[in-house]
Amino acid sequence: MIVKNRKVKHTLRNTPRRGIKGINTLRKGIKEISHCAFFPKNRKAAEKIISIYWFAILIIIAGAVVAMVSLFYGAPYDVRSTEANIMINQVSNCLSENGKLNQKLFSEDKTFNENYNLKEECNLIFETEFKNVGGEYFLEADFYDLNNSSGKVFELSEGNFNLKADCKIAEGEKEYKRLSKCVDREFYSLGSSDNVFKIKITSAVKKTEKNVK
Amino acid sequence: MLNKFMKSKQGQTSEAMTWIAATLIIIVLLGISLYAASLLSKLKIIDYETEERTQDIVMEESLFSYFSVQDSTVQNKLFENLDKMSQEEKFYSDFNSKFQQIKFNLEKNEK
Repeated sequence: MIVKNRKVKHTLRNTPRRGIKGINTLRKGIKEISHCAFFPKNRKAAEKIISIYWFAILIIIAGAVVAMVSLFYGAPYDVRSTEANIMINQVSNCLSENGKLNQKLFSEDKTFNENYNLKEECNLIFETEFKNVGGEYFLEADFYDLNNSSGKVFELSEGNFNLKADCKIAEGEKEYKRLSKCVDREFYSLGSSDNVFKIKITSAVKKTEKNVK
Repeated sequence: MLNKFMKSKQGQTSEAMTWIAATLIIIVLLGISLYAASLLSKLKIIDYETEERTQDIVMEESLFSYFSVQDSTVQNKLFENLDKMSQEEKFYSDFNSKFQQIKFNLEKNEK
């Protein structure tokens, strides 16, 4: 950075009189001397270099501000858990109406209807712009009898079953951003003959391309 | 003369050091700001559970079923389960206030 200028040095050493270029700057103060020593020709050149420096700093600051804004606003919002919760709300609303299970869930002999189509009945559309094998969504509804602790009495599922494995991994301590977001919720609803069912809904949303950078 | 020249040399060096230090401080501050922006961008998660809300459709379904049950033993068992879920913070809105609200509305309708 320091430019050695022999001409300036020479002027400083050999012209001890006032009024000669170089000495004036010496008498005025260190700042002006350094300009002369840094920049060979004159003060105008020094100012030019300084303005170039300021422009460089300005460009660096402007670039950093642009980078900061693009870093923050370029990152997508992760709304997968919200999406999963909205799906659960939709499914719970369609399976149960005012605390009573939807009659379409039962066949004529009062047993659960195996042909119940969760996707169609609940108006769910699983198609997305991304062509993930099997789809980006998974939904499962497990029915348990409150008076009978024998286990699951009925189940319904839709979507990409492989995403269920992500939910198992997500149960661990470490959070994996690239895996699907899973939400589990439970609610109670009244069956056909005053028996209460516990319904556990599991919802999984992958869509990492849109939600994770 | 030599003394003066030495002084001017020192002046040049200190001036250059000031500029270098200023530039470094600017660059470091910008680096910190960039790092902070990248950290903040990772926090852009909209969490449905932590957002304060007054309505929880799933919880309300359970409450409606509780008030629809005729058998008191089943009703008590259901309430125990719901209360346990409330203690485990599985509901997104206040369970007790919603319970009271639905109870009040049902009693009002009965009258």
